[in-house]
Amino acid sequence: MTAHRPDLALRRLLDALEAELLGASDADIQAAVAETGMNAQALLAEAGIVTALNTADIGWVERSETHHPRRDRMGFATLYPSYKNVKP
Amino acid sequence: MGAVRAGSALAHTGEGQEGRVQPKRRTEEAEETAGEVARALAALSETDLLRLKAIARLRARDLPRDVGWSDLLNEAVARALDGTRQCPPEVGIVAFLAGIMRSIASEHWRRQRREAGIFRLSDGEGEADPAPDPERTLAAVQALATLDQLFTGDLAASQILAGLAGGLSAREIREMYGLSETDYDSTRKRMRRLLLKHGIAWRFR
Repeated sequence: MTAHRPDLALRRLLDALEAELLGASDADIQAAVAETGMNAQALLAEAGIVTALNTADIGWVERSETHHPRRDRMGFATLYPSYKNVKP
Repeated sequence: MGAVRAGSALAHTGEGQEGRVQPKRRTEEAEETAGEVARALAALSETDLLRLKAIARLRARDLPRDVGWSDLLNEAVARALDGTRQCPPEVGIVAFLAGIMRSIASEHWRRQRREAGIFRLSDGEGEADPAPDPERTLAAVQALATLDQLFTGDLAASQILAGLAGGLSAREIREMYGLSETDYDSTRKRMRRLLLKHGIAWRFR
């Protein structure tokens, strides 16, 4: 899989594969889950999704009058300080 | 999801005196959007959460190895909840987050390139695809190789992968590699299944 511009080739490929995942039917996903030998909840609990959504503090709009999302626990921003509002 | 779609269309305007439509304050719009996104996220089914996980894992391949898929997803969710991005009415919440993750990856490499001080006279202002820096090229080569490895032993899948990377359409790929429509469709189905399995359960890298 060679390409003159690997970055562009990767982007095109990821876009195409992402479209494949977005278009996958529920039955496709359930079949993939069955092949893993695990159940969906275990797969979701595995290192991330639940944490990600909890970290995002879903529901803050309903609970708070001030409506300020909490962004102090974002892993990506911690790893890459340049994503915060600070100068490198 | 429906709330996001309906709300997004309404978020720009509000009823003023005498029935006139007046612009809402930006913060108000952002709060409204964030609320819709939060509700749409909370309503996601297990299947869609797994889809989101698979997409995050796939998209994380376009980032340095020390950035995990959950970091990427975290950041995308946080940006969606900021309310600064409008979820287009026709776009579902999973596709919306996928788009944000794509933007985060592009933004990372643009920033990396800028901070590395890589500029060329040929680089136009706002050029969509400026020449990449060496780190970006290396990361892309590694990611392509890993994706290729995923389909080792499946010649048709490797051919389709190469075609997609080259920006070819389904018809062009079929013609180039002599694949029948049935072969192409069944291979894409195998690829989708494998991608899902790896995306939801196993580590890609």
